[in-house]
Amino acid sequence: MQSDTVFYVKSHFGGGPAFLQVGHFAERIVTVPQYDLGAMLDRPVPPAGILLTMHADQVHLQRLAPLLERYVDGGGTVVVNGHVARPYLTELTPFVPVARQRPADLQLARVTNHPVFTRIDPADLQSRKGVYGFYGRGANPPPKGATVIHELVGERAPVDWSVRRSTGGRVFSHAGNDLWGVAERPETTARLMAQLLDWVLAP
Amino acid sequence: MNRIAAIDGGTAYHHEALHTERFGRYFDDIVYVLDLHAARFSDYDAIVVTCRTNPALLAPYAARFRHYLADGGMIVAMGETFPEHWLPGMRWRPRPTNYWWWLDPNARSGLTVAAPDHSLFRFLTLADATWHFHGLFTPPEGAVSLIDHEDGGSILYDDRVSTAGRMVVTALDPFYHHGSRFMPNATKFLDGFLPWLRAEVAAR
Repeated sequence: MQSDTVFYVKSHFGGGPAFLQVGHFAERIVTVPQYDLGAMLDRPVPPAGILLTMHADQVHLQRLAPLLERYVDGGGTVVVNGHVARPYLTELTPFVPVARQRPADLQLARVTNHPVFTRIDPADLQSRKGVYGFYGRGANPPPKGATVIHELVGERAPVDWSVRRSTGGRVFSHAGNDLWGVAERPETTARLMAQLLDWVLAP
Repeated sequence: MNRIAAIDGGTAYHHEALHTERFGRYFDDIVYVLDLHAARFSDYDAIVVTCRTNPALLAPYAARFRHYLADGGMIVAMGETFPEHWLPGMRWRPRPTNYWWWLDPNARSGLTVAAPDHSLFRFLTLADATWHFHGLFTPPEGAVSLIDHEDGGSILYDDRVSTAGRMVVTALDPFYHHGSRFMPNATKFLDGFLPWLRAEVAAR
């Protein structure tokens, strides 16, 4: 039994991203300071999902690994942003950068349709002001059985993937800057975040 | 003694910048921020607080940092560590960061070398310190600004007067950018800055 709340795990100093203030998200997403996550997960009713940022303290997450494993085993969803340096879930292995990082190499290709990206053109995500690389410069290698969603075309690096455990829990990995900060247009970010939240809430 | 510690905020970019050979070799110890209570500051000639280490985790050590400086220690405070929360005498004003200035063909960074004779500039150039920054410091009287911004204020200064020790304070965040694997100038900055720091510590 899970709540219909999602935790935004705040690992950085200062305010959170703007989308958290918008009505639909403000109702569903609770900001939890990273160092309170252990206590917050160790409650009878866990959240439906947890959103981790590129600024997550992974030494700390590794120390929480048994709790995180139990959370996903129990049906929870973890959304990972950024590079994995110190794996804290069995599905994660350290980030591998692509060797060639010219704009042509960093273009984004959709491999599998996924509800998080419905009606979002990869071209709306792959660059900002003509600069490539914010979306991803490599991949957190996917585990066996993962669905690859997006690749960086140069080396076909699986920059986005998701996987489901037999127990129902899910891990979603985006190996780049936080998903709420990569799109040029605010409409794209709003759609992406709404679809991400729906996906997390609908196991 | 000749020993330098880096404080590690535990993120992927700290890992990449501190726990790989390229820059890890400049440090004698890497101290994870949640284990800071167990570190003896007096074991080190210099402590580098790397970019974006959460100041809320450093603030409880403000008194310990002050004592360390009073005993002659050296602290390097990197960008986005908000040292006004944990170092004495900081005067800082944030400003909106223009990440895009370099896309304009006529762009100027607004940065100038303020102390060309400073030893750091034997190790790096202004170009190596030029990407973007997150605010401006007003160094205290007697401290030396190394790089000024045309709007007034410093993005890198060296303070050997406010305490018996030394504080090198910057609004640049090279460990973050190097560790995130973009912004080649951030890597060049560390290629110069860390050998300089080792030389300074060795010369004491």
